[in-house]
Amino acid sequence: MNAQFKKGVLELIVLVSVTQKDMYGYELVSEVSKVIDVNEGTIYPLLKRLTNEHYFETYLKESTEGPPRKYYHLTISGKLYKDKLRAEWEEFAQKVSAFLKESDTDE
Amino acid sequence: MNKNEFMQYLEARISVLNKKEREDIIQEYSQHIDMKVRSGLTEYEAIKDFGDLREFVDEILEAYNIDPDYMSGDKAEYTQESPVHKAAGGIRKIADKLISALCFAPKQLKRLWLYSAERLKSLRPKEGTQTEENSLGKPKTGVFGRLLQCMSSLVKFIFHTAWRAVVFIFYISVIAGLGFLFALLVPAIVFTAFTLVFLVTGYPAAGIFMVSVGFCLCTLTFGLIVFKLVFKRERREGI
Repeated sequence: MNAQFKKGVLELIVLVSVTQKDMYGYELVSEVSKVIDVNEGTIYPLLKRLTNEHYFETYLKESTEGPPRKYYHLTISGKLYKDKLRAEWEEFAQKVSAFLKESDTDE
Repeated sequence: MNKNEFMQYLEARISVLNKKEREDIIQEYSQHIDMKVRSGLTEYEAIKDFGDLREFVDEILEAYNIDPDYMSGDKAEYTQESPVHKAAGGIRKIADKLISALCFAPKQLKRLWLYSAERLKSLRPKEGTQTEENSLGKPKTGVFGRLLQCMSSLVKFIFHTAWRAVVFIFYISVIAGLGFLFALLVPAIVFTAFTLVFLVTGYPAAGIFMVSVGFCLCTLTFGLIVFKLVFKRERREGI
């Protein structure tokens, strides 16, 4: 898929993924990879940025294997941001597909 | 690139961040790689999944609103008119001036030394003739006179030996001092070389580099001055 497309929706996918339950970094990376084929390196900086903007809260939790994991939890403002982003995306996708449909009938 | 190399690269690039953030990032990526390895990939494959490492770390730094080029060090190494180059040029100019000044100083000192030595020599024979005249003009007679003569020769002998001893101690201390200086010079040169390497790799080591170069130059020049003044003179006198 086009890298520019991916970059735009990555944030939305990450936010939506964490809405259901709190996740740790690697879990989130594999979750997002199911939807779009994304460079794993880019997700952590994104998580960092969203955390800095207080859309995420992090906490450490012991795991049965290895060191404690850092879990990401969506905050209230994160939820609001996600809803806003989702609405924007749906409007955008609708407009684009409408336009594509229209140009199809023109041909 | 294996995990260790990757971690070293990452740590070097994010050194601008504070300790807590660095540890946080290191922890997260190290865990990620460990989990990848547990799922059956090699370290090499796990790191390959991060894509281009430079871009990858750039993105981390950008997440902190940091200009990724600021710490990369590439600018300093590859651009021609970098501050490092300017500093190096400045140091070379200063060094040239220092060397010419340092070459001038010993010449002047030597001239002064030779001049004073010449004056001393011209004074000495006069004293000698005077004492000869004295001893010839007033020949000592009697027990008291002989005793006086004996005493004076004894005093002269003691004086002469003491003078010899002083000269000997002087030379020994000069040699010891030079030895000490040159013993310091070797680690100083090694240290200078190290700081030069740090300077070229972009660390802010200009100050410490200049100090160590200064120390080396001072030691060398001082050693040369002493050597020229003392040992060259001694050889001339020996001939």
